[in-house]
Amino acid sequence: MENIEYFKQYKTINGVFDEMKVDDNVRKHYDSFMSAFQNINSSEMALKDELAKKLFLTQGITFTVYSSGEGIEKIFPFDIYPRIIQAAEWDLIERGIKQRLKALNIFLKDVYHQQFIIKDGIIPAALIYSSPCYLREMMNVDVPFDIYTHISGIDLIRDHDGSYYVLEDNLRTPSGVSYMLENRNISYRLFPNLIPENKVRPVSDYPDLLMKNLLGLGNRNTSRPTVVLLTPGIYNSAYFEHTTLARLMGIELVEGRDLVVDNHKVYMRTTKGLKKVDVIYRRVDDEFLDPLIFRPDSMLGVPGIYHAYRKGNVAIVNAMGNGVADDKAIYAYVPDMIKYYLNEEPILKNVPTYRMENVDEREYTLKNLNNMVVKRTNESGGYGMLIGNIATEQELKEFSEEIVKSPRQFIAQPIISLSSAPCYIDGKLQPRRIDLRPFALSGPDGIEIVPGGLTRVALKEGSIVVNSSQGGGSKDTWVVD
Amino acid sequence: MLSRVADNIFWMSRYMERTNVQLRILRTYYIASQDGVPFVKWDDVFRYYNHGKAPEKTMNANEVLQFILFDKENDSSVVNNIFRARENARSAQDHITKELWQCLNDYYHLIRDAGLQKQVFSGDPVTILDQLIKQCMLYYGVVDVSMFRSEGFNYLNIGKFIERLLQSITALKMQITRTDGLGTDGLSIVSWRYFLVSISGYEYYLKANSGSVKPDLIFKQALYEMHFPHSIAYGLNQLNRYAQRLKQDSKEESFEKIEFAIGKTAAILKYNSSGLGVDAQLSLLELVEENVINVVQSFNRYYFGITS
Repeated sequence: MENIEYFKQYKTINGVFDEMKVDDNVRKHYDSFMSAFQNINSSEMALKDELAKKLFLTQGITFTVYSSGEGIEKIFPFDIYPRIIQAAEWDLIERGIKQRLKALNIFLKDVYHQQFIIKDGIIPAALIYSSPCYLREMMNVDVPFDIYTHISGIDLIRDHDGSYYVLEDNLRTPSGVSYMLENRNISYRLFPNLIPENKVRPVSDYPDLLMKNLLGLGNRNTSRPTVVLLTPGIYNSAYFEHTTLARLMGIELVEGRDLVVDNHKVYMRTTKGLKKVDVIYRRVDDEFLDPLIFRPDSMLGVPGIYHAYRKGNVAIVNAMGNGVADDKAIYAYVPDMIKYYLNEEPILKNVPTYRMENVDEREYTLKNLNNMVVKRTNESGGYGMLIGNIATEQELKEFSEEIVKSPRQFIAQPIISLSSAPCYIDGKLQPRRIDLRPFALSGPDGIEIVPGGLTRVALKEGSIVVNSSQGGGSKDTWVVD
Repeated sequence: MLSRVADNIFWMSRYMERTNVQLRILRTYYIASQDGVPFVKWDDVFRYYNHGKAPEKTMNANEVLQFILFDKENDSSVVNNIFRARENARSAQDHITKELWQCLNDYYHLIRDAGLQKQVFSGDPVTILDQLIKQCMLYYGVVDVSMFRSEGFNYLNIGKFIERLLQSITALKMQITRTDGLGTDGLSIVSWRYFLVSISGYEYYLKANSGSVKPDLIFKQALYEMHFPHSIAYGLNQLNRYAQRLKQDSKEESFEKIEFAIGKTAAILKYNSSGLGVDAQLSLLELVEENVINVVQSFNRYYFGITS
């Protein structure tokens, strides 16, 4: 058999923490998989790579990109080499996320009720009220079981020393979980038996856990609650995920036009007439949810749904108004929230964040723009970002002017040297930068996190932007004992 | 079931049935053209699929097939049928099985394959038509084996039989016009034989009427034969069968409207004699067609929430 020295060929990036290689050795938790991988010859590997692409395409695991008026379906690029996390590390991640979500959830309740955190001067009131995601309409609205963040996708990165940092708390309508599930399905097709041999913890119970929580929310009003998943429709880029989750939970996938509100109760239009809906897992953003309250031009939402929610006649998951907690300017205060609400030291670190409305921090940033990542506080998906060390003079100038003009709209962070992981590209293993999005579910019984998550990869050589909209891909994430 | 989803499943099924019927007719027509049968006129076929618009130049079989099968600008092309069937399936994914979705997705990728399109010009079009028909058969098989027998399955079959009825009526009307009724001259006989092949009824006909091809018997088979899956009577019977299954999932007044509309159509077929004249035959077919369309409108109004 052809002996491929994948490992010997693999060159790490200087000054970057590599998930698999340390000095000239394979990290222990990668050892078993790497040994098996070494034994697969190059033509077999090429076939596997091809099979992965084919499986994604035939199963319709695609997202739609629109250009020149025509919809083009694309595969979310998948790298066949899994990212492996050892159990002890996972334990830290799990504890850290639970702690963080506990604090963020209390913060959301506080900020929409008594506002102790503002009164005690921990977070400036101006910062909260100037957040475009802060919904005054949520003031004094009681949400079921006081849970706001039912589904969260916390983005984690590792710095050059291997320590984990939280990059973003996605508490609105985080996506990507279907790729976590599908990536695992593809992995066992590509590498038969390796998943059980490596004792990889399963992720397949995610839909069951989610459904349990959704039913738990509906049980307040009826013993047989009707749960639906509200999607913006087939042209939404995450539509595949919406259908996957609805199918795996056995619930109706509804669009705004399928729902109607009567006497502050939500119903869906069925062939047998109207049927009451008790719980809505919505994948429609706040501003599109109710044209009577938010954007009047929105066709995606349901007129009257806000008041039905407010009266407690329907549970909406995630709660409205969560965006204030994952506003990039508020993010900087999460460690303070943890200390304030829980009286604990944060387990997971924040990336140091400079607030542009603070004069000193703004001046420091403007002087050191070359070494900073500047982000708009209300953008996501890798849009509205400046990476100082690769930006042109013109871009640096434009961002500087905009920062000075509206400091609240920006934050700055030092450029973190994201860790790298081996990826199978062009027939050999090559290091590419990665992050990790584990998915946490908060329900009446507490917070549960599926062991794994979505590892996103910056497939472009030298890039540190992992977002799919910016050419990123993904790989399966294995948590091993 | 959501009204929108019921409508999506209904249309997904209609587009697939339409595709299947169209492909079979085209295959037969192409083979007839290779046999040198004089009634084959490709310019007429082009006109039919292009809203009566005449081609700019005389088109050969391959050009017309390319237009009907793969032209995205042609609203009635097979590629657009498959695209719409798949879009409807996408919107109803929680009510169809994963196998069915993947089957339609495969069909979509198959028909967009550039190599396949090239073969219509440079290779044997029958091979391509066979490949596409085979994918239709796969679709029917997957529906039969994997779809749960719930409300969605009923709408799927209702869509299928409504489309089959409308396609059969159109094909019959064209055949009668083409042969000027049930004429028994040599060319008409050949033409009726190919018509039977195109609706998968030739073997059945020979078994029942061995030794002679008679247009009036073929017409009767296409209209009244209860064991022939492409007859109007069979289609109406199946339509009624699946509509009856909706009773428990319906509002009483909605079901009554549907039951009445289907019953009326079946009665028209049963109690109206077609006679021997072309006009009388066409008139009967048009009356049945009109009533099938009424059934569709009733479904739109009482089940799918479409008011206009």
